[in-house]
Amino acid sequence: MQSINLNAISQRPLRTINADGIPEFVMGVQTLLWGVLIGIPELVPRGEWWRPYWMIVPFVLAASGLAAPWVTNRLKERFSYRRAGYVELRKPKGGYAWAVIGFLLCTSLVASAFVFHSKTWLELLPVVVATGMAVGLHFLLRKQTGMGAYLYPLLCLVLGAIGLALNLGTGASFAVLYAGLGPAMTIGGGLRLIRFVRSNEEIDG
Amino acid sequence: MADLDRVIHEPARLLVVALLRNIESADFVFLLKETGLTKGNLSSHLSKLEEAGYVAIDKTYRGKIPLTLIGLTLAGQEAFDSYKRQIGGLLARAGGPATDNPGSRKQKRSAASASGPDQVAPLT
Repeated sequence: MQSINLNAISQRPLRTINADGIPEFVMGVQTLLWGVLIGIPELVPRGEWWRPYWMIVPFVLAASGLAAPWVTNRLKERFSYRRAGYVELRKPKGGYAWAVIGFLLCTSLVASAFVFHSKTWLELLPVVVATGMAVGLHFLLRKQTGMGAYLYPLLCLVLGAIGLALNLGTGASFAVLYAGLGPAMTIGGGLRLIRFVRSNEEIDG
Repeated sequence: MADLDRVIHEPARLLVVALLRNIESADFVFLLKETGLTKGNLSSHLSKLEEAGYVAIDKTYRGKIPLTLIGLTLAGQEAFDSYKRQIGGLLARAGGPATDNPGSRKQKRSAASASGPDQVAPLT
């Protein structure tokens, strides 16, 4: 009997979640949308449109967040499930997930306060969010093959640092972060999806 | 050796159980793809695992498409964990390469990267 690694086999289903690139692609489109919506007021001079615009945008941002899982599921039904099958992950225990999120936020805030004590909290918010996103993306993509688990977090940190270093202000810093990360993830996820569709035939289960 | 669970000890069934260990459930297509077995062969192994109470098979629909979801039961999880301990102990005693429990993190990582999602681990 040859040497086998049962733990490695048990980890395989976790790696198939983003094997099709769909979650990455959808997140990329969503992030790009956020970047554009937040970036427009930074580029266009204020006018009468300002007030109604900011009354609508928060709803669009929230709606895109709610729509993303639905779109991901529809795309997976169309492209993925018949090719690679369907895997239902165990749901993380609520308390644990919130504890992790809380810990990451607190750590980021405290670390930021020590490093950039001369800045205000509002100015620091984009870099804190960028750090949180970097950690989150690394955590989500760490089981995947490819460099996404390292490149996207690195890109988040670089974009967050750019906003801070150039004193762009809160809105513009967020726009740079989202509008920079969005296309990268959209292209990365899209390419992965094309490769996946080409290399996996539909299986009639 | 005599204590080894014969239901799980069979390579194809061991692969199925290992694949299901860390997830809630998977469909038939996923197992078909990951194991490389034929439909008939996989069905037969799943029936044996179901008879032993190690997997639960739920036949449902996704829209209009039939969907067969297979999940490891608590008994299946316990049987698999116990099997891993036993086989790990046996191999360690024999001086051969242990499966994974006694291995180092580095060993685990290199083995994990060696077997991609499209590959079926050598079980012969």
